[in-house]
Amino acid sequence: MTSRGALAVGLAVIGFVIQFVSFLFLAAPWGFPPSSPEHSDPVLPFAPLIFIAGVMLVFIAGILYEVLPSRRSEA
Amino acid sequence: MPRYGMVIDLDRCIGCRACLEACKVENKTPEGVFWMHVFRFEENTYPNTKVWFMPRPCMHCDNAPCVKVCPVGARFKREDGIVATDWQRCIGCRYCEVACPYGVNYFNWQAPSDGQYRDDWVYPEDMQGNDRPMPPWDNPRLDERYGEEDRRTAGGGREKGVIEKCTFCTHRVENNLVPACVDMCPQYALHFGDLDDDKSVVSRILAQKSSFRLLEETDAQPRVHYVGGRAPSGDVRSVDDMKARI
Amino acid sequence: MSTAPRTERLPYGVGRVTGQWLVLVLIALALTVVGVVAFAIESQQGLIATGMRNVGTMGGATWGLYITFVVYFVGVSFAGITVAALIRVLNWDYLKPVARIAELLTIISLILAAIAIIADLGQSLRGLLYLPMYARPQSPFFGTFTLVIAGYLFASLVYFYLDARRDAAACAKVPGRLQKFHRWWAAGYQDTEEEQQRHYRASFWLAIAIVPLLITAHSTLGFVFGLQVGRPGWFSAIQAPGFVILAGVSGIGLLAVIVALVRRALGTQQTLTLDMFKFLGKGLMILTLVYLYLMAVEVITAVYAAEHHEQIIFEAMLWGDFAWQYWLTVGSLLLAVALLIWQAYTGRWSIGLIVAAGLLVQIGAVLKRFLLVVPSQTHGQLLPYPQGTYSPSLIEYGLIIGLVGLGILAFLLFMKVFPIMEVSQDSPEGERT
Repeated sequence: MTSRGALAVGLAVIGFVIQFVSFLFLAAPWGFPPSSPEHSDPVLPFAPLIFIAGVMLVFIAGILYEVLPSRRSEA
Repeated sequence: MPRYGMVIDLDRCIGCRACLEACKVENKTPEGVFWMHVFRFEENTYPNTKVWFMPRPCMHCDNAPCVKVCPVGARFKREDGIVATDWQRCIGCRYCEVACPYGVNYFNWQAPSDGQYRDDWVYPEDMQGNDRPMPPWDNPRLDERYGEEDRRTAGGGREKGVIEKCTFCTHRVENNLVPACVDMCPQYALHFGDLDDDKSVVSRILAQKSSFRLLEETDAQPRVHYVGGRAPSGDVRSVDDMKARI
Repeated sequence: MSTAPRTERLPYGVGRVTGQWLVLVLIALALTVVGVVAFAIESQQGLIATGMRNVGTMGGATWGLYITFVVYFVGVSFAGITVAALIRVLNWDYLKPVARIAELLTIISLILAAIAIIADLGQSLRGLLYLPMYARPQSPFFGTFTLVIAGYLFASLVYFYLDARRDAAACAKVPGRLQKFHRWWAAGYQDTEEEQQRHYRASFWLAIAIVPLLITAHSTLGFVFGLQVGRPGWFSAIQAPGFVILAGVSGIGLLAVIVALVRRALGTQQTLTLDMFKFLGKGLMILTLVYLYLMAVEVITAVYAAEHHEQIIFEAMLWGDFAWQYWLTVGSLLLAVALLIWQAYTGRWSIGLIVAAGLLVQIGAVLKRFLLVVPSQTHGQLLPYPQGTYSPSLIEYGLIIGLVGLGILAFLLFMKVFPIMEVSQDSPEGERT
């Protein structure tokens, strides 16, 4: 795999990890039925934004993969 | 932590709507908004006609559909079980309203008007202080905050574009008073108390009489129990064409 | 080298303002202004300016035309990215010329959906801040604004951007005011073999990533309704698949209409062939048939064995207050299917008839969404409230007209800064020599 490919795959994986973590652990705590005010607030403020950033990172990986100018010659 | 609940005795309700009035005055709800609503039902035909009444506050469900769907956590369950609305958090999407099986949510379609109640209220000199009779727009308890985050939960008629609903009068409950509707009921049809406390009035009534809750099939697990009657079935007709439209 | 970029003028009328185009822009602008005025009045007065009112004692519907069109616009967005992804994954090269129109349709309609949501909020500004700040994944609405608006829109933009770089590079060779913009878009694209292969690979994986996102996004929107146990008529497992299918119906239908308009406006009969329309027509036919099947299943279940309140809703739709909307929906979908099947049967396809079918399904798609949103609120109260009514106010109509105008405006403006169709269609082999 080229370093370009590795970068793209790496970014996409990071993106998915961010989505997973922010959805399950950083946003409002899971628990049904919601029984306390705790369930109404995200653990980390702006957790939803982090989730969106994760979704976006996956696709930014695609842009980087294509747009990065190739300085070194890649085999 | 108490587990607050309400018991409504349908045999005692005479449909006087004192609860409805008490609620409006206590919470300063806007026009056309009835946090406490009293149904008037007609059933069967002559000579078996029956007319009966059913008060409908917010059910403060344990598995509240509105709490589940609120996208920003403005609607939440307090530790004492009261389902509260933080009107400063609410973005006005009205999802809670479509999710609620009981239809208890009211949206402020316009900026609540100031002139709904008389504004020339004068306090007698000797009634200044904590025990003075308080007009709803000047009740400091309505501005009390809840929890670590200082959530705003009490009172109504706040601003346009947010959802408000029955609060079980959190500002009264926190100060060891019962909700205004319960306080004002001349028939003792409404009762309020801690469902976990065996000696509370609600526990004693529920232990003695058979009770039911509305729309159990939606599994919302409401905390308002009805005794002395039965749930409105499909044959029940609502007498009032209550379209209090604004 | 392809011929188009070699000429001094940009292809497909890019950069050249014509009188006809100006007239269309002015009309679109006027429509947009109607929407802006409506939104201003609504912001000033509050949602009292709309026809929506509380359910229950106020006897209204609290979600109305706005939510109907949110669902409609998100549905329309289906077409673009599906077509683009399918072209790439299944190698349907003959569809390539419509790809960019389709992607643009996706992007514009998603933006319109976002604006419609904002217009529906009682506290719009607060919503813009609090949704990213506090949104709870437990709410079905979470998927709508993260996956649909943010994820789906962003994914479409990325796909759109990367897919058009080759054309941007071609356009950047032409001197003019737009050269800088095209150069920025091309971002150093040289059209070398390595770059082409890289795009080939990247777009494949993007397409693979987008297809599940597409299914999830439309399903989450279905769950907004389908998970509400307290709302008869909504609470159904058929909502999520139904949303995906009807999204396809309205999206492909509108795509066929827009492609026909572009074909007419640019005179590109050679590239936008009848075969292409045939393909869209067949896709539309299959999806509409599947949707009609879902509708039939829904009605049979409701009429035969539904719970009491659900029956009331379906009675209102079949022969009650909502009958004309319902039968107009069924009629327009059936007529569209009939037109398409007739063409498939005789083998004589005509663009006019395909466009007619595309327009007919738009009527069906809008009304079906209306029938989904409203009757369950006005007629679907579980407690014995009297039945409510809802009719949209002029403000609501004005705002929707404004959104449509804004969409047309965006389309027209884009057509003048970038080629709306693929420019470099020749094979990479010819390009290199």
